[in-house]
Amino acid sequence: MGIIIDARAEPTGSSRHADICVIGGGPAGTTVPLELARAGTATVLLVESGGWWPEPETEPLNTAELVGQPITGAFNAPLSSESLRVRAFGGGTRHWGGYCHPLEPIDLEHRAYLSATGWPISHAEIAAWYPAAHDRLLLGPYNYDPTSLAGMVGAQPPLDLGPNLTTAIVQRRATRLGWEDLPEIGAGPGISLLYHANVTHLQLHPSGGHVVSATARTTTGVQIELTADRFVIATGGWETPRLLLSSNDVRPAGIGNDHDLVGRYYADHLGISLALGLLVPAPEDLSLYDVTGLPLTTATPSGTPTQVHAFGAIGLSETARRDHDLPSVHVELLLEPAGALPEQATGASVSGLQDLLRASPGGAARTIATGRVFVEPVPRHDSRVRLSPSTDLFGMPLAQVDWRVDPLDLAHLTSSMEIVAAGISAAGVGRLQAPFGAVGVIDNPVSGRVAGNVRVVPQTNTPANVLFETTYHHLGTTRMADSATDGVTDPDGKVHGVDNLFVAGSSVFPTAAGYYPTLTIVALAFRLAHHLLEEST
Amino acid sequence: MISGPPATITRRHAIGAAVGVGSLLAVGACVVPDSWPGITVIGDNYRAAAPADAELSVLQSNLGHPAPGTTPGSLLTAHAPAVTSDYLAGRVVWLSTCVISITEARIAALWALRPDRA
Repeated sequence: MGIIIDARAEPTGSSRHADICVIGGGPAGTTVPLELARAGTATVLLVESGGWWPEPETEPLNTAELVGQPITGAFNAPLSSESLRVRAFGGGTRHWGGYCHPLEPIDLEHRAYLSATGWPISHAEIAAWYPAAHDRLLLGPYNYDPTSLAGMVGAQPPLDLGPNLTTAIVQRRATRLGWEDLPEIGAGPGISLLYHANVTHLQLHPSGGHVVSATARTTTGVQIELTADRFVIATGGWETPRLLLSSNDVRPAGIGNDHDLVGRYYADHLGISLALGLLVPAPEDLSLYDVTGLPLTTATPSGTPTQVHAFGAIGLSETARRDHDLPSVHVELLLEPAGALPEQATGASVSGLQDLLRASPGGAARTIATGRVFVEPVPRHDSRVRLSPSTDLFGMPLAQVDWRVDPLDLAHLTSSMEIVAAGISAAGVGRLQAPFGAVGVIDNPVSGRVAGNVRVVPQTNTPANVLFETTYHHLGTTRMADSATDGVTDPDGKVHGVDNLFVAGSSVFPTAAGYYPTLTIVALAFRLAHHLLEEST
Repeated sequence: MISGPPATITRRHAIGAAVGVGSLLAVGACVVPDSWPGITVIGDNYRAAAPADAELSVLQSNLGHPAPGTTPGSLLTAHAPAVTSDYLAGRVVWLSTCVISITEARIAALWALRPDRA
């Protein structure tokens, strides 16, 4: 039987031991121990900072110092650092929208037109675990074929958008990991969950190449020593470098930081609200393209019944990316109700395009859509998470997040929107007007549901003064690379130079790649779990 | 195909038309109310963005020397294949917040240069 322990009830000064200690109970941190426990060959201790729900005692521990590009939400609303993460069992899946799409092979390539790109593992090595990740996230079949999925949800076939655009199927189900794992943790052998336990320090052996123990502390003053043969940090793109950098008593620069790479290449997908995506004269059923998604009652790859929502995003094709030296870019659309007045819906004047369409063969606009653009950012060495002079209640330095956006990102946005405009116009679908930042889709991060509301902000931004919005994807900071001079972790997620310390989760992404990260985070966690099992044999 | 004036004639349009007819009768010249004000705005934006390409003679040449008074609807119909070719080839211009084909932009600019513009 598994053991579930509230660290606050433990005697201070006590200790716990397991074969493998996993720090952080988010999508990666819950997947690794469950998969290890299923194999039944190792004892696992899962350590989580939060409780079952966000709590006033622990949420302040999310505080970070934001010093770079302003981090704003939809409509460029300012966000506090505490609001960007959830400190409860399940981590990011406690507030995510459930959007999933796998990486494309080109995402992992070294792309000469984008600096510091290229993953040290092949697409096949990740793709092998996508079906398992689908099972874990209760998604439908591992099927992202647009024609097939359109048929499954009863929509018209995908539009022929030409060679430069593609319909990218997104499956959406906001599965709350952690919370939903409790029955399996409670019933499973060899797994212990220690919650309300904040790991504040990793103790290296004096040699500097081996983690001996971890210190966990509670907000009530309990301190517990955790020992294990191997440790896995799965605390996300901000907390993982914070822990590595602040554990600096043996190696002054921090663990794994001999080459000053811990915390660097921090990335977030760049979100942009499109006030008006399309003016659509075509009478086709475009329901496939509504971000709200069409319901699909189906089964996971292993046959568990589930219900997901599916929709088609409009993305740059591989051809367009290669021909125009562009990163991954896609647009999510929200179709407005029939009869919606564009000016009221968007706050922007659309009389120009309305007149143009009305005068053109095909006729006036029947449907309008607002939407959001996601741009894969250019990797930047100076976009980073480091330690702040300020500390938390444990005396641990806060994470200082210096998010940098590259001038090329704006050029990529502009070029991509021209390609999108050309593609949809050539296909006879409509025209694109892009007053950025005026409105956006309200995506409720708590419920995980798209509310389908549009908020009007009078000011519209042109591409020249656009302010990117966060997508809550904290990526990079312990990137994978074959060599310690190029990355913090090796292709298996092991920290270079430390023989028993691994990292799981979004921080190992060398590049942000495209779309949404959680499906890939879970797939990589399965891959790491099986690597750990193989190492044991 | 839908072209020509809008289906709904506003009071302002009606007054404008009446004034125009009256002026024509009175002095032999008129200012015709704009049936396509949005296209005029796009045309003005293109003239500002690409003044050389938006010279009247250049526009007329690029658009096949249309007869004076040809409406945007007629031109957009006549040049529909060129518009599609523009989009297929990525020949688009970003005018303020609108992303349209170069041919559409030229048609709009020509409309903005009509001699009877108010």
